[in-house]
Amino acid sequence: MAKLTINGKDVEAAAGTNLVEAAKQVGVEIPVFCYHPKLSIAAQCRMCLVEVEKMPKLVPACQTPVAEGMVVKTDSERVKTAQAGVMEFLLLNHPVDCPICDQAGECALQDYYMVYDLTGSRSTVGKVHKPKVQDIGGGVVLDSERCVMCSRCVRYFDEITGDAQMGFFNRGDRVEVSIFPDSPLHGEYCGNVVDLCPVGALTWKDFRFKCRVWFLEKAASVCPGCARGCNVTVEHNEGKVFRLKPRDNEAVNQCWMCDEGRASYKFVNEGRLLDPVVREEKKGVTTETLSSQRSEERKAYVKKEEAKAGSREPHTRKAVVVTWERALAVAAEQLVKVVATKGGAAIGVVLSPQATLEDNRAVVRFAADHLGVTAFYMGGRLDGEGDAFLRLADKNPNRAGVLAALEMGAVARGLAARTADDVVADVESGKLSALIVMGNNLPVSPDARARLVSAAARLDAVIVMASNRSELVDAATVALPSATFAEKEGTFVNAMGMHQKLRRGIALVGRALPETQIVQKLAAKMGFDFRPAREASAASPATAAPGAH
Amino acid sequence: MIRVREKYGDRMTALESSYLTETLKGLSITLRHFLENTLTRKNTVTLNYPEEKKPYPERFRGLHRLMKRDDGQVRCVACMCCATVCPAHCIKIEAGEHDDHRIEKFPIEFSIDWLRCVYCGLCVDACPCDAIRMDTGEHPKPQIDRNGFLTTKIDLMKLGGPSVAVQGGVRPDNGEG
Repeated sequence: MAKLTINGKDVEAAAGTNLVEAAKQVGVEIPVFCYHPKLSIAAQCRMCLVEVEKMPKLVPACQTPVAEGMVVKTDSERVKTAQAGVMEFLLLNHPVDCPICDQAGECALQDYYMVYDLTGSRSTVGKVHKPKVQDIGGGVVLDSERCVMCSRCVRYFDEITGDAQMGFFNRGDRVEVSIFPDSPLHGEYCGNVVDLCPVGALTWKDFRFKCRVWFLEKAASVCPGCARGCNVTVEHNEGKVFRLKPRDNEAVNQCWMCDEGRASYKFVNEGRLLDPVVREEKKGVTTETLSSQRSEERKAYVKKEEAKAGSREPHTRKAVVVTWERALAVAAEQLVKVVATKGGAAIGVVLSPQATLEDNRAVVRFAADHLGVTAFYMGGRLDGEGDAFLRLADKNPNRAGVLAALEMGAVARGLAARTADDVVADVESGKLSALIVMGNNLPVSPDARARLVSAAARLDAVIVMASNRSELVDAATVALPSATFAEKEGTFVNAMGMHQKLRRGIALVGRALPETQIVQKLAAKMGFDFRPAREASAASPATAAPGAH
Repeated sequence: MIRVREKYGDRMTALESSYLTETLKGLSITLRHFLENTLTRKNTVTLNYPEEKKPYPERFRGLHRLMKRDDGQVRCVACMCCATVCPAHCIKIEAGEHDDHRIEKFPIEFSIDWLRCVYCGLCVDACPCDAIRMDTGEHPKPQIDRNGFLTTKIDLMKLGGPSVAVQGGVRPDNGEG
């Protein structure tokens, strides 16, 4: 430990800590462009120059480790002059096209200009122009003019992904950061350079021009893309999610995130099941009466489905949009009938590792305690690709949570979750005559799914709680719209067993409800005294890492 | 010193309480105004709208218009500054990527709800590229339903004209920038 003073404030910092981090401890902000805690020190932007007593020149704070008795000044006249000088150089050739720049609002140049510069340009010669709007692959758009040559992106590809995809080209005021010729950005972690870029030189194609950042509201959440459970911020506006950004958590994702995860919000905005739908028996072929689903996309989908229907047993149920009250009444009636005639063993419950721990626990308790269900299955998404950095092959954020929910509700009774393939087998063999499904789809092959859908038409009840439309939803006797991760509070348990909280972002879409509430209402309809466990998180094993939110 | 005399009630004289002379007095005033206004129109306060129009105050802004570039395209670059500053939230802009890289961003749709607008002019102050102006001096025309007041980009551009401001600063026309 070394004791030093920064702007007259006493600081005690571990040996090796640099001045930027030491200053942060006492709330002194030292402006930086090129410094990033996860990357090597370049000390090339010179924005962090500070005055240290007994040193003849100003020193870059990012590169200067703390030393015993050091006296640092970050607000002296010399430092201020240096900062203004650096800003003047950076803005010399900057196009100042903030009106069309996506970074505006979260741009280091803009923010620092207001604090450290705030003067006009003294230059009388024209600006150096460089190529704009370059699609450099990986979903990243490069604008060379806006670049401040901090080299964060270059160092990221050198040091974090290790495949050195970017570099500096040319010299002097003609210098440009770019990719190598004929080698567009590739790999699964390109989006991180957009977060790293302190200015608008690198922008994210998916988010480009969609929303100005100052309109975005933020909710701390967990990425629903895979079992890693990267901590993210859901950034949304007017009921629409615009992007996911990584949130720092040393124990899970540090400050990174994969590109697949960045795209994993899309199902929140598109193709949602908005209303409860009941399929009424034997009223002819499928008729789409869903008021909220009249889009072109939907029409095309229905047409395709109808064409497909020729090859398999046509639906003999008609979809009708109903009120929650009616949908729950129909679902309750169907379940009561099955329980009365065939018993709870004839009901299969598919749990969803896409839903929260609390939702799964509510469904397990409802099914096991009140319906006498013994057959629980694991739903979710099929496995995908994984790698050694962040991505895991299990594309479900809460598999461990489903197992935890079962442990509390069903394992005590000697029950265990079986796979989704077992659902298909058990439905086809006639073991099950009713299904309660959480989630949009089952993690089975398309062939098995088609068989399940056609077999489902013969079941007494198929009650699906889904957030998005799917074949399974279309085959359901009762489809209940459920909320996505962005619309509810809850817990995901990641592959490392860490319990991580989701915070609600957008309001519930359409008439969707969280599964916990759906089950609660359904139980009330059936006349059970059912309360979802409130003590949920407290009772679960204390495996949450200190950094987990 | 002010001398105050107390007066109790307004007793009418016999002539007044007959009402006859007072009624005739009143009618003569009415008749005088009638003749004055029909013959001279010297003291009339009403206007024969729409043949006659009262000039608006000099600083009346009127409806917005979207200005055009030299080639007739919209000047707006969809920076959303106007939509951000608008206290009535009446401006809706949908931004898109322009084929021309020198323009880069443009509004696919730009609509103003003239019923919501409070005509404060903050959008004009906020605009960095002289794309929106409120200088038509016109008020919205009556419509038969509310949607009629939701004015789209096309209609706003019809009111607009070219601007002499340099769009986006001076740039070399070498296709580089």
